[in-house]
Amino acid sequence: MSTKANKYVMVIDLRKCVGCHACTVKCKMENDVPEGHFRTWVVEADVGVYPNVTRAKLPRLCNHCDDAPCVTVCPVNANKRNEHGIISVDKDSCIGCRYCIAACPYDARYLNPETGIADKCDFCLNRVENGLMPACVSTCITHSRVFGDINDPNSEVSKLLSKHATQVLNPEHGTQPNVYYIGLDATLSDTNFQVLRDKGAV
Amino acid sequence: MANGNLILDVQHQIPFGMMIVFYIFIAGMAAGLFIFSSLGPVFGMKKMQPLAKPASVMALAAVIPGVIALIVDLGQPLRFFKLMYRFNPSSAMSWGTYILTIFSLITMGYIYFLWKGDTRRIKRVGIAGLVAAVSLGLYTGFLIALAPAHPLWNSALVPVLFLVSGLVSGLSMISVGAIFFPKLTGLTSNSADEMMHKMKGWFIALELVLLVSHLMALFVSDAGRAVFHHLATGDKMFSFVILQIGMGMVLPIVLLLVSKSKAMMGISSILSLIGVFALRYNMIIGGQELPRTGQMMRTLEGGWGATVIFLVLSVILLIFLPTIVNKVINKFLSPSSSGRDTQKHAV
Repeated sequence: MSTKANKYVMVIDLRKCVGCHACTVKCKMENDVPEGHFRTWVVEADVGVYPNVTRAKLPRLCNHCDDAPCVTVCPVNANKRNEHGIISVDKDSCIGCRYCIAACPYDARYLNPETGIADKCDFCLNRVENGLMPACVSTCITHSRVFGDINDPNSEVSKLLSKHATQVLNPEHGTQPNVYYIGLDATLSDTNFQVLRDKGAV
Repeated sequence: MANGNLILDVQHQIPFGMMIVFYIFIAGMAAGLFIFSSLGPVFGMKKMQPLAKPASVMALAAVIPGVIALIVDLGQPLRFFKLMYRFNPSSAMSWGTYILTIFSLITMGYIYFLWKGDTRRIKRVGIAGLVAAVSLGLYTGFLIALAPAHPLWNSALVPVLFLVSGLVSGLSMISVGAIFFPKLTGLTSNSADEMMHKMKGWFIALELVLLVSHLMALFVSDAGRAVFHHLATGDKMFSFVILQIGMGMVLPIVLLLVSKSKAMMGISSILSLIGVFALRYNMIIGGQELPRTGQMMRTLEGGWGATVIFLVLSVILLIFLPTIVNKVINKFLSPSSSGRDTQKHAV
């Protein structure tokens, strides 16, 4: 038995993801996410040159960073990290100033227009506390998303992390994210400003 | 790097919108107005003494709509009081709450002592107010400088740039008041004109130097270069190149060099105010539009409606509050104390 508290992380095996968006839909149902906003979503791009073309996918969600800018900047301490590393918004304290949304380098947050407070993925805290998997994990048709305790060497996430090379998004920001990817495609992980220049947007 | 063709992504909205642009503009102006108000009483510049009373009231007139705009802009406006007791030392917005509160209180005390003519206390309160005003000007910069992953924001020059452009807007507002509304604002004396004329040129020049230094340092990263191109040649070209730099910075300096007439000072001041507002707009909105993840530009939701209302409200306050405050204070201060006041308000 490990004496350390559980620390929850997610490992997303992109080799298995088929881009069905079931996680996006299930998350919206589970968490009552308003129209136009997402707690989790899947980015897709065509990469490669014929005949070696593939469709890259990148499921996105809050990274529950160890060094989270949203917790640092909140002027009313409404962003709480629980003892298991899950960051959630205190619904009774948030004033809706949107500083955390500006500070999050992953665009994981949005202002909920119905409640007027900041909102984001909380790893389905209510489900996890009651012994269930987060909704996106339980609904994933290919078992691409795996959720578990990184401090338990026998957990599925620990096994995946020890067996495979994993990446995190934008490690250069030093936020120490807790969502790990297997087989992350550089097209989706790095913003390519040349693409924006070609489109004439920049 | 592979040049993928993006099929699907979520478009994100800009969190800090036009109301924040307005607030940062008006807060910088308030800081500038207070600093120029203190030049006479605190630093003993005799020529600037006539500015003290009108400029101090105008500083208060600028802060009031700024604070209201901040509260209205919250997702949960009625919870604004939580900012006062749920302090987070690592949040620039937490510092700002206290800086704004202290600045407003000190400005009110400063105005009271100015009208009472209590020279010793004016100086003490003025020095405290000066610290608060400089903090106010700087913190609006730290607010955005401390939000990671924005190349246009994450620079130590941003707070200084905001303070200096706040000084330019404060000085311009005093000139606009003195030239177009001298009776209402009480800015009837000409003694400060020459000095203001000189200072204005130098402050705009300093603002330009800071801006250029800040933009040059952007070239260190690809994201920084992209944001520079976004401002200089992209969507923000009109507001950046034409409004902010051309009309708002270069043209006022040229006008000030060409002529020393009052009309020219007035026109260059209005142009400067537009330029400083454009600077805030380009920094806040332009700094957020480029994606931090993915390849979709971020969008600005909501229009200019509320911002225009607040701009009109602040112009009305800036022009009329000096007269109102003068009348109210003279009514309540005892005749003996106001009689001793050698620099009686001109209205």
